[in-house]
Amino acid sequence: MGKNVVVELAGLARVRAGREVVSILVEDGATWRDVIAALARASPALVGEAIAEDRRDLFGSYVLNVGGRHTIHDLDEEASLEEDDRLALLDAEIC
Amino acid sequence: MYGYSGKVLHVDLTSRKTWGESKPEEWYKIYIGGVSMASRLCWENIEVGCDPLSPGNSICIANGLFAGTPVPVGGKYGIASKSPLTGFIGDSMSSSWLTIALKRARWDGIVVHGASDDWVNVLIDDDRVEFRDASHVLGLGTYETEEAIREEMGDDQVRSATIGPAGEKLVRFANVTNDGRQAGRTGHGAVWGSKKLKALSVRGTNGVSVADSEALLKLAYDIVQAAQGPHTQKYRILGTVANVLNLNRMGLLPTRNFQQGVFEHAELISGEYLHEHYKVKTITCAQCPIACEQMSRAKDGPYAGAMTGIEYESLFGVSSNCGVSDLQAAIKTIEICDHGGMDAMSTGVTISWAMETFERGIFAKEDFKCAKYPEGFEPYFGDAEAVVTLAEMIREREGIGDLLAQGTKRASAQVDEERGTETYQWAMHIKGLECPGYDARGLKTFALGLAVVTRGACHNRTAAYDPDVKGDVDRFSIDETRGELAKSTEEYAAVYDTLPLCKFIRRCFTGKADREGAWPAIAKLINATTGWDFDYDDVDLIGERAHTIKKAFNIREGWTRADDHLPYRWQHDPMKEGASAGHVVSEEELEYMKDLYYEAKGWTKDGLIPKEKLIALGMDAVAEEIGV
Repeated sequence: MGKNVVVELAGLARVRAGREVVSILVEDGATWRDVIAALARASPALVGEAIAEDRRDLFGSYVLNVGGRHTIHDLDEEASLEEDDRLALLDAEIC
Repeated sequence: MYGYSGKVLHVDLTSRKTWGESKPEEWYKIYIGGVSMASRLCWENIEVGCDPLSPGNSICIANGLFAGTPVPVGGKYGIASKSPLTGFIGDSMSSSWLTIALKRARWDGIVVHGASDDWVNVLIDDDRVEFRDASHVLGLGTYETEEAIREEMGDDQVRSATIGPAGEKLVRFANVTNDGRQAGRTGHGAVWGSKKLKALSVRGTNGVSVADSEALLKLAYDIVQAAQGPHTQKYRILGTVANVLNLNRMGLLPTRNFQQGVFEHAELISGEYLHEHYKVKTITCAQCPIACEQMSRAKDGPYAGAMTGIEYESLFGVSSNCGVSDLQAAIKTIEICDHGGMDAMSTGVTISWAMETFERGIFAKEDFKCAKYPEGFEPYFGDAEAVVTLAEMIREREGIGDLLAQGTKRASAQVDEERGTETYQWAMHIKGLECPGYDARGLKTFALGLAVVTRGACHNRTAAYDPDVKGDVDRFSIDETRGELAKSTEEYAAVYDTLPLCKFIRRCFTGKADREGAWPAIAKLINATTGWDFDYDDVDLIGERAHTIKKAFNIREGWTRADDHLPYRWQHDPMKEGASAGHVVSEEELEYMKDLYYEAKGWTKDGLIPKEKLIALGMDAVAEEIGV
């Protein structure tokens, strides 16, 4: 079981990954760190750019955002996602 | 004194007299340099209550502490005067070779008083000052003027700050330009134009002395190394235009004069698209290892050959905010602004106000008559040629360009008075300065930060978007933490603006963009340069003092609590689509947050500064004049 979600990429993350979106499967009960690990597996080019080397954290000013509205603050929380939800990997340092 | 010459140059354009003024070391310890010192010079040298475009206003320039030293991204200076857009303090920064030349000429600052009868270029040649005729460069663009002066002098070490046609014609958002960089936003170019000051040129031939050159070199080397690493990569490769898609995703990308926060053609104006199709090279300021300026060139079509540096802030104003998806037209419009010497953000937002006013039937085709279109034209949102043409008309003050050259606030007020309309409802400014590229209806801490900025709607003087965008707080609601957040973020930004150091270096001390990492490192840089004994708290005070002197200037000019406002649209019109749909910053929310902010600052409920607060900051004379 689990949920299929799409992660939208922008900025340097998109340039590095060479794609606009990445599809990942998020297991039930997974934390946001597990989501990051799944993203790193699906797009290894993001490691070192947007994802930290340990593949459990984000690098620098990157954040995970749900639907453009809600930025994830605590990566240890359970990732409450619905099937086909859209996440965005955003660079939060806008200036 | 190390790091400083200890003197400020005064130039009186009316009498054509010049003199030096010595400043004590304690004065430097309080005001440091950049925007803080420039604002303090405004406090000392501008006639209270003067018309910003009259001889009573003064141009105040303050060098950066680290200009001409090995400290990376320290080649910057501050420039301030009373703003013709806001009537309050107008403080800006610029960078590169001019500031290094000034340091080598051994002046910590320049104050230009009065007004000249004839167009003039003031040449500062170390200790010597010469008033040179500038009539032959009148009408030239900013870059062209700089180049002409360099050729005329026969010395490529002569560095000039110049104004273009927009400044000559007193466009209220005209810029001052040097070395391809713009001291933008608050209309310095118009102040220069009102004084018939076409250029200020500097040749400096001395060395720069620092207290501990060995320690400074070591510290600088480490920062340079970090500045070429992953924390600045995004600036080097994409630059700030990478913001377009991020902000669009969050429903915050100003679109069609802030009517929407989502632009359906965002991909076509994105940094990623620019990088792939139009970027030709990156360039850098002097003394900078980052190199963030994305030089971009229109390849084909009616604007082929147009080329300039593209930043997010200049881009949003002339593209999404005008409904324009043609990136080549945006490059052309920004080129017009850069060469003409006017602020691209204010230009774009003022044009978008005119477009909405047209679409609402208040302006008609005949209002847009010009030499290029004698019958007029119809500037619907999305019409790229209309935006290009309107930018040219503003630069030349041709036709309706004469109205728009006053900026959104004045143009709107004039139309409403003459036609009995209510265009103020979509005039997107704060204190008269046009809004930056973030829709604050979906960033409530930032909304407070913007409302209270001393120079008006400026994203650079408050970093209050940070907790909203990073998710430290709920960006759609307010709570009791927002006053302290607005205070803390504005003073954080003010430290960088005062030294000045480019904020893009902020993660290069420890990897985190916070005080804990940066302030101890910055203290070491200050101490190695000056021989002082600054610590974390001293660095932190730099920001509070910088902000306080600017606020004091505004209070003396008649600021009241009502001046800390937001545009009508952000308070009354929720966006209808996108991730930030449905939100406004209500009057009650804003007033509550202002209460919290004034309290956090230690000010009165009316936003005035208690005497004891000013005295504690070392501003005794200021306390006597405006303290309560």
